[in-house]
Amino acid sequence: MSHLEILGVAKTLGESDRVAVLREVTLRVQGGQCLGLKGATGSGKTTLLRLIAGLERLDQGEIRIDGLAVSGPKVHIPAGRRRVGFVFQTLGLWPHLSVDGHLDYVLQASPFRGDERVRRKRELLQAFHLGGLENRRPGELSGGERHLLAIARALAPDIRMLLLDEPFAGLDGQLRDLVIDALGRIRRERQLTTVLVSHDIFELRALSNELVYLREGHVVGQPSPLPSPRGPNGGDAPRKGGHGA
Amino acid sequence: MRRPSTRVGIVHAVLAATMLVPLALSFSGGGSFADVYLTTDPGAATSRRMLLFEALARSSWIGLGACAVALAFGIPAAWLLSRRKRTLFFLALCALPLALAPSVAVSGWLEWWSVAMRGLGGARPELTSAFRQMPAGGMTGMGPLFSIPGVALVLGLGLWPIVAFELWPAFIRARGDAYESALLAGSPAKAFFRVALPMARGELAAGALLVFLLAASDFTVSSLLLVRTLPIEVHDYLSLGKAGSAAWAALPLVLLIGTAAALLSRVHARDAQASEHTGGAREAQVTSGSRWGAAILALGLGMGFVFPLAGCVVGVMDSAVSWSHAFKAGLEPLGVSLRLSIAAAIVAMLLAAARIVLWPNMRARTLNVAGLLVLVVPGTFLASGLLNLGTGLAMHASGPFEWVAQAMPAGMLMAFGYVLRFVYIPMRLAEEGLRTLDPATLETAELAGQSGLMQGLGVALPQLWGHLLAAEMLVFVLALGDLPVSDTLAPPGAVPVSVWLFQQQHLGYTEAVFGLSLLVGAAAAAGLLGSGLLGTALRKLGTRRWDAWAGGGA
Repeated sequence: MSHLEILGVAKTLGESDRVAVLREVTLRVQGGQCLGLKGATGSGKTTLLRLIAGLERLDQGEIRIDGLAVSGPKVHIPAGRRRVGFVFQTLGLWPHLSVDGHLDYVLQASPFRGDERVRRKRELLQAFHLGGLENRRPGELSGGERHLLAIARALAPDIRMLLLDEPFAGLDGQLRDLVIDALGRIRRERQLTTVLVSHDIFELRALSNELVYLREGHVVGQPSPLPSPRGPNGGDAPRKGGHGA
Repeated sequence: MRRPSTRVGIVHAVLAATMLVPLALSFSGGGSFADVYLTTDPGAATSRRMLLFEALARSSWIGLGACAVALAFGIPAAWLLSRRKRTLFFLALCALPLALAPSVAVSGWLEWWSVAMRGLGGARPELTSAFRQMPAGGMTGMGPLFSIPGVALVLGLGLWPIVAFELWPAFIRARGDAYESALLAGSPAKAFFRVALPMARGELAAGALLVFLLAASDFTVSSLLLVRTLPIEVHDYLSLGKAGSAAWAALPLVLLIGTAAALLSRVHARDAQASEHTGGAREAQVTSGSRWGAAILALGLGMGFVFPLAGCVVGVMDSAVSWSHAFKAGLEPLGVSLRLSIAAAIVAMLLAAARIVLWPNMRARTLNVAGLLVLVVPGTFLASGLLNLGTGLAMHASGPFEWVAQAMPAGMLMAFGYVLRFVYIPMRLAEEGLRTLDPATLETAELAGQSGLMQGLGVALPQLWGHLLAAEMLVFVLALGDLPVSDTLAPPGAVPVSVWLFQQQHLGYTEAVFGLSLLVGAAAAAGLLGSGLLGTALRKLGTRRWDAWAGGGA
């Protein structure tokens, strides 16, 4: 259970025409909780995820994980040492590797070895309905299967935090419910602190404990608590393919 | 792609400076600035400066003319390339005109001109005496080929693939939603000229500028077609043993080139930034409306490769001697050049791989600018600097380092010269390849704790096999046809094929010249197409092994 603190973070992007993407953003996520981020395109959601992951350096403020500063004016822990899983909007799959190769590659740098590694791989393949597709490459998978692979790959190493950038975009209703269910279960089991970016309130409600709106790089108002999230098979299931407003 | 970190930036700057050392050293040879631009006789100095200025003007006109020809063929070819599935073999096919050595192209065109003048089987006009005295303004009364437009045409027909290869990725990006929206609102031609072409204007400018620079610094074609350009003035100083004077004479062209190279680098940097925001390209499909592109591509291939080579075939067939005699002469120089070109191509491929593996998520603008400068300055200028460097090293190698000078195989300096002259190609292709990768693929590996080196080896390199092979192919064919470096740096007793051919061409166009031209053209084509086929096969084989490698034996 990792506690995430984002304290007065500011970030500008661009080389010649610099644009302030985030301004004085302060947020806290309790360990094992999921924070939903919503906002218009260009409001800074993805940049915030990239700062948490350590893929970008911040200009001002501080990011702490478990009380330890990982990003700040004088500190930047490299992305590879933060133990963070990231599902990118573009998925970022490796076209030359099979499903098995994807999981092997990220597990290579993890502490899992031998049987434990095999067991973890099998669990993920099963949870994300990728069994039987181990030898296929991304080009041989359907759009939905590619999303599943990207999520499974993010969860494969020994991570303490999961960052999801519109991970369900392009999935149909039934498949989305299945993925949300599997993701919710794994999150609960591993007590993964999660930040989810989405435009879809159904997805945000299904996984998040709190919801935050970003507008032009600012947090609007206070985080709104959501009812305890439950997946489609967790009792109070969301409507299949439903889009609650 | 990210800007390099301070530490990597320093490494790039040191490497770039090392690449430019030979250019600086070329000023240290015999002769000085005063020899070229100032003398005690003011009249002579003025006329010498005027001579250089006129030569520079001729070089610039040739550059502009070649640019126009290259754009005429390169733009439609790029459009076609962006609209159909590209295999390495198809790309190699499109690069054939670039693979044809300039001296071979001249042989072919001259034979056609000769046939047009006399008819098949007639006696060849005597060119030998004419070549021995080169007039300043080109030959008059010897046909339109012996003129600035003639040189520009021959060069433009060989260099148009550069425009096509520069433009094609931009057309792929432009061919997305923006172009399709324009198609809904007007004709394909209007959509092309109003949307696709303006969206690719950066790459268009880059391609045109690169062709201009290469054509303006050409020595071979202008020398064979008797147009006195600045690279010929530079070569003449070098022939007199005045390497320093040669460097000072080349200075105006170098300054022009340096400015253009900096401009080109800015264009590339801007395009790189723009393309990062346009997202991935769509998978190409063969669509309607590409007939014009296909026709012009076929014409470009015909005029840039098939036609000149066919001229050499006619030259051999039209001679009275046996074919074996025609093909036998110059075989030894061909062997020398093949060995050295293959060595240079392999080193170029390794350099591209090193660039990808060492800095997979960083730009290397400093290296690219230095590489570009080395590519487009007159080759003799670079070669004389390398010669100074080699001579200096040999003279000062003593004590524990003496064995280094002794162990250096003959021709190593020449192979190094090829690598340095064409180093821009692997650097540029590697960077282009890295630009096409989705940054998320590298970032995911970074998040999983993989080092930069492992990201390069495990993620970037396997996806960029095609770029490595393209670098290898292009350096091979360009080294095979290179004249300035070969002429200056050939080891004692070994004559590279381009030098042999060039010398024979100045003595007259005999069946031996056509026979060897044909062999050189065929070797370049076989190398290019063979590498294309081999690359496709290797890529298929290679991808089966990446999984096992990625698992680390798990």
